[in-house]
Amino acid sequence: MFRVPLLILSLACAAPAMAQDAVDYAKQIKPLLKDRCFTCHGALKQKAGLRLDTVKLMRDGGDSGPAIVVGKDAESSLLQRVNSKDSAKRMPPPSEGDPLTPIQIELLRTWIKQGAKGLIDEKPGPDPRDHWAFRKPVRPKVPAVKNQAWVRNPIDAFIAAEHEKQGLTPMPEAPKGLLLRRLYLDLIGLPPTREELAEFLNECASAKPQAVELAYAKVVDKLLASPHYGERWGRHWMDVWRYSDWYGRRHVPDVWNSAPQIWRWRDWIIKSLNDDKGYDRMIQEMLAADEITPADDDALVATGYIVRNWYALNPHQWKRDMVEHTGKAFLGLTLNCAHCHDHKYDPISQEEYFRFRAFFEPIELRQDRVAGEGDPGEFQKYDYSKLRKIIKLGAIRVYDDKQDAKTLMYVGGDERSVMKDRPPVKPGAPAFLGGDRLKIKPVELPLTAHNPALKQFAVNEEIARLKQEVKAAKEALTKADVLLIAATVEQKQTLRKAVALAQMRVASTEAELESYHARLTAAIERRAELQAVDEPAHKAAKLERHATWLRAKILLAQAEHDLAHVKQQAEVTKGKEKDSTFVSIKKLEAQLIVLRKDAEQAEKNLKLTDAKYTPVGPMYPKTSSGRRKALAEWIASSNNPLTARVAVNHIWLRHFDQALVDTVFDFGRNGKKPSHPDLLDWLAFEFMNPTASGGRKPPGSWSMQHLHRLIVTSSTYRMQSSPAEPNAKRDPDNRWYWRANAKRMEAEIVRDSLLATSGELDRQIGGMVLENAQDASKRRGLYFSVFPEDGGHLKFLEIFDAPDPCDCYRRSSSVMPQQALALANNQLAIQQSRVLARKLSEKRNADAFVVAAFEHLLSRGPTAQESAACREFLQKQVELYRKTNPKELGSGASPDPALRARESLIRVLYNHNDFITVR
Amino acid sequence: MGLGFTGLALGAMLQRDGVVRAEPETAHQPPNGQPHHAPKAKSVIWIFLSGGYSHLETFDPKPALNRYAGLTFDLAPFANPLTSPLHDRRSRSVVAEEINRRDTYPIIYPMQVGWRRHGQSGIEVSDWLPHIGSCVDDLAFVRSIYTTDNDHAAENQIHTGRHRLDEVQPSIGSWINYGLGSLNDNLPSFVVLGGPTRSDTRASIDSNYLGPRHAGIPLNLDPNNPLPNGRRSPDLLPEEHRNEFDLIGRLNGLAAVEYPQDANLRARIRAYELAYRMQTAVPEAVALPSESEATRRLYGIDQANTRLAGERLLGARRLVERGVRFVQVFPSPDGVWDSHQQLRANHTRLCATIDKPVAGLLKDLKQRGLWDDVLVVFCTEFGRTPGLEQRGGGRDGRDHHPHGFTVFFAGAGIRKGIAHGATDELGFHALEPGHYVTDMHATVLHQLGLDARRLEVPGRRRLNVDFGEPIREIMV
Repeated sequence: MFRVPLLILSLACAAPAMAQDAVDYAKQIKPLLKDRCFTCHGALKQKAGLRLDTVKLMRDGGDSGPAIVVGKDAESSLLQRVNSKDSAKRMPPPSEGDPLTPIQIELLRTWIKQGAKGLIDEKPGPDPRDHWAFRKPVRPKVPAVKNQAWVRNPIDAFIAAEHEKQGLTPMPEAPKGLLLRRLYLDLIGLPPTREELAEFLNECASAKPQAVELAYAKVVDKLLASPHYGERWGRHWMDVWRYSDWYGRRHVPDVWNSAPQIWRWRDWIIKSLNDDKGYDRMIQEMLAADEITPADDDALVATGYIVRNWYALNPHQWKRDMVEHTGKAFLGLTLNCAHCHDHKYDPISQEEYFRFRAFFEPIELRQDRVAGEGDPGEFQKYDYSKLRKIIKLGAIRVYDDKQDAKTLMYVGGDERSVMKDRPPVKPGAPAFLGGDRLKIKPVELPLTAHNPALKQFAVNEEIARLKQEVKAAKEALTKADVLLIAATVEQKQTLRKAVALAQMRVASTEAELESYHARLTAAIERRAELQAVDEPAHKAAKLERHATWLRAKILLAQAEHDLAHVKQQAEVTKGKEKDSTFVSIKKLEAQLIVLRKDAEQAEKNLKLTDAKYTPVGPMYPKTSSGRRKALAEWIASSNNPLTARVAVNHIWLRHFDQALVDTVFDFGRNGKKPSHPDLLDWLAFEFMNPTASGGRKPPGSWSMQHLHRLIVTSSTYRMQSSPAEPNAKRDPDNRWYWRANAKRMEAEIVRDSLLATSGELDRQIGGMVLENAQDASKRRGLYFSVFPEDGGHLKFLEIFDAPDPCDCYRRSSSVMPQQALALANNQLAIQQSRVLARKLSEKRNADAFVVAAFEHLLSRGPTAQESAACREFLQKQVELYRKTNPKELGSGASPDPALRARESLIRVLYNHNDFITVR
Repeated sequence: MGLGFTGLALGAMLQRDGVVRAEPETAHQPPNGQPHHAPKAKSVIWIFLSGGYSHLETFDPKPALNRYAGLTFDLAPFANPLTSPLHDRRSRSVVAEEINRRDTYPIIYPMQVGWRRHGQSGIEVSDWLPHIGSCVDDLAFVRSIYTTDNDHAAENQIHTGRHRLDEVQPSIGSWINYGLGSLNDNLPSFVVLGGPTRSDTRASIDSNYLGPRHAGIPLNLDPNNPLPNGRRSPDLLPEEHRNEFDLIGRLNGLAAVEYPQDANLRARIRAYELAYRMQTAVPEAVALPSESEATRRLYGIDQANTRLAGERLLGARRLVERGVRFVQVFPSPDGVWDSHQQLRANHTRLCATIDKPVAGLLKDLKQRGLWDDVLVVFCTEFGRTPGLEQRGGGRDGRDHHPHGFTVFFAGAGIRKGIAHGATDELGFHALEPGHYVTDMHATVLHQLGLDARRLEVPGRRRLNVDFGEPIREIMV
């Protein structure tokens, strides 16, 4: 990168003095051109036919002749253009930022004058389409390495090859206890209990050949089969896919972003991982379940991925987020950089940005009924004057509303500035990845997809509900009859009216049931396109009119009844109450007028003979555009060079706390190169085309569990984290994986581990989101609300770098005093310390307690020094409690000084660096 | 809650102690806590009034509004501000136009208060703010600030520099925390008093990609409970607690022998030492009752209507006195200044709640010799329309107005008794060039010795507009 020292910059007039110094093309000129000119005049683009990425190309020039004339600065158009005062001519143009500085221009001038010397064999920049990540991965040859004994699977061979190149020696395997803890925390996010540790150590110690390998493999199998695996890795993917509960104006509340039912998508993620659903299928369902498997209610909530980005105030923003994060999450492409102009690094034009958006142009949200939860009502679309309610029931999902929705290009990232001269763009993915040749075909949707109220469970529930209403009406009638019989003469008149009303109600509820049945039949038969299509419709319409009329009559009768009652009351009220009664009477009278009209109209309508009836439940389009299906299939394809690589890199990152490609959401030309390109490709290829090993049946393609198993069983994964020389000097950052990286637990895992070690963790999987105020709940952290507003995390989690629900392609991990305060002072830690101390104290003397506590919390025994320090501590605390006035001892802790000291020690171990560290 | 405790201090200390290895030269270097140039100020008190006070009834008198009251803009003898190209350029609704189009209000609404010239400078301040008026000779007003969001997400915009529809950026306080860290290891570097105002204004104190340790920490002005987890649990004995911290340190120390190159472990050991000291330092810092009666009166803490603002501003002074870099104070509750209707009644009452406390702070900083160390900024998210808001039949209020409004600066390195910049005759558009809100950030950073352009984070693209330009006209 070219940097002019600040001092020289301020002395621009002194520049000519530099003329005597030889300008270094490689150090001073090429970086400058690269920074300011190559985007338009280089490998990516050749505006005006000009490239500036070699001296020869500059001399050859473009459409308007050579860019430089050797030795003649005044004749060199490059210099004229960068120096031009005319902003229409000046390069780089104003849209590309500031002009070159006088110093930079002088450098160019001097260089040209000095003969425009270049480099020997200077090569032009490679074709962007040849960028490593844009070519399909093939299975690389597994390298032959010297350290064969260390190689457990091909991962190790790739890693060992680099070790040997760099002169590094892999560290030995981590102590078994720490390794087990690492495995537990990585795969299920919960540390092993003392008992699990003992069992593992015991099995490892068996005399059987390969005992350790077998014991280890058994644990891996057990953990991958655990439902907690889905929780652990679900939360990782929730980071990448930007899971967020609803937000907007939480304080009101008013739902603007995401949706209150979004937690069903979280449950889908967990379940999909536990089922080891293929990653390709997961992508397809998240982007287009409604088109790919429209009748599968369990899969439809996967479109929560799209729902999450919903923004009530601005559909353009919704779609911008869809483009940006679909690009980053699945493809490692920064499509968003082509929003306002062509991409500066990757071959993505601005038009292609909008073409990508067009996949999402027709989308809308709806909420479908879920069995057993009643009707959530229709999704409340945005109305500026209304608050949007929090509806937590029903399944929120996406569908294509306007099949032919147009995507218009605009400038400057502002949708108000539409490019009027550009026609709407068609959906498509970047051409350099073959995304311009997608076949988009509209999808016919099954009946229950466009008329979801016809789903069997919905019909059953609706009939049951209507029948229940009939039953209730009949029971009310019986009661009214009984009352009438027993009534005095004075009461009889009123009660007769009540009986009449009850009779009307029975008739009305029966009519509603009949109407529902008829409308149901009509809807189904109309769909079947039978010849006699009109008859059921006519019948439905007739019965509905009848039911409507009865309903109107009841409402009227009820209102008349109420009015009479209030009037009766009015005669006995006095003073201020009289006023309010007067108001009620007036209101009721006004209402009565409306109801009377309604009833009259309903009666008149009985004479109608048309076939118009209200459909059963909301109706949606019968087809879907098929745009997202095409996109999803294109992304989730083994022909896509990016998808598998990006996913594999994410998984690798979370096992090793270090990514193979450091820029996890940018695999483009501006991203970082992979540290181990062949390993990355091998993993990507293996992900898509898995091979069987170890006598197992071959895993399915795109199986994440297959990748996990490969990774955690490798020698690379199993190394210890403590370093040794000379490795530490040669590769202090462990770029070449010669040891394990110690990593800090993620926020949720810190809390989960506190609860798990005390045995108090509530292990229920899935379910409705928990509000952060319910922090006394002992469920796992991922079930609490997460949203990008104040209060959007459990306070305890926030302190440990809880995920930013808008952008968390990788977690940060900080060390802060508040973490210390939280672990030391938070009631959660204090309470768990008491529970755990009691449990571990049973039948143990102080020494045994210290050992048990270390094993339970750190998966290792104490060293002699640690043991001594802890025993000394226990004694000191006991003495303190004994000498303290009992009144000051408080009520929360154990009254037994020895036990209280042990509670105190547990707290200390919670605060041990190695408790929240995965070694 | 935010987490901006001593983030940099810790990192810098570790580097100083050789715990954190210096990165190779090519890699990004996080700031080392040293300013880029000689600083004028050590710390900042940033006072923000939520809801949008009217510049036309506080600091920017426009006689033309009275003269042409009742006329529509097109009939007044000035260019129609609604048809100016500036109008759309400086106003973008979060809400898409197809969903709702914000109304404009063309009927000129007269000023609702009288004005008086104050001090030697003769700067005019409205009659609702007599105490602040008495300080004008120490203040530097900027009357040409503009923002671009015409709704209340502008509260985030003035703190982050970005419109709600743009990518989110760290708030100004967190940049300062990132760039400089604290002057006191035992206190947070970036403290928030009275905020964030709402759930959706968290961004105004947040650190975004700078990481949680640089975010603002909301403190309660309650020594018994100044921040969550900030004190020993009441059912533990002080010595019991002390012993626990001692053993934690000892055990972690033993682990450090085992893992000599684990920088995080060393950092954690340090974090525990700091945490222990914070448990006394933070409650002490917010112990307002220890202040003298005279001081409390100066801030209006003795009066019901000025107590809230007075306490928060006095708290701010105590914090900067103890080395906190950036105190973001919200002297009024969420959105109260938003005066769509009954502007006169509303502003009369609200001005009275903050006038004496703000003036009290200014006087107190002077009398304690803090004036040359502390930079005070006084601002709001936008001004109010020169036109009468007619929404819902309204007859006595003004709508949101991003196009031009007034803020003031005072204290360290700031010129005294000047009014810089202006809006047009109707108080509508900030006259070109005008100062976008990030010019305020650049000014603050500059006074602290920082150059925004040198605080970049790799992989995070900032735009020119994010950096702003220091308002040199108001600097000494």
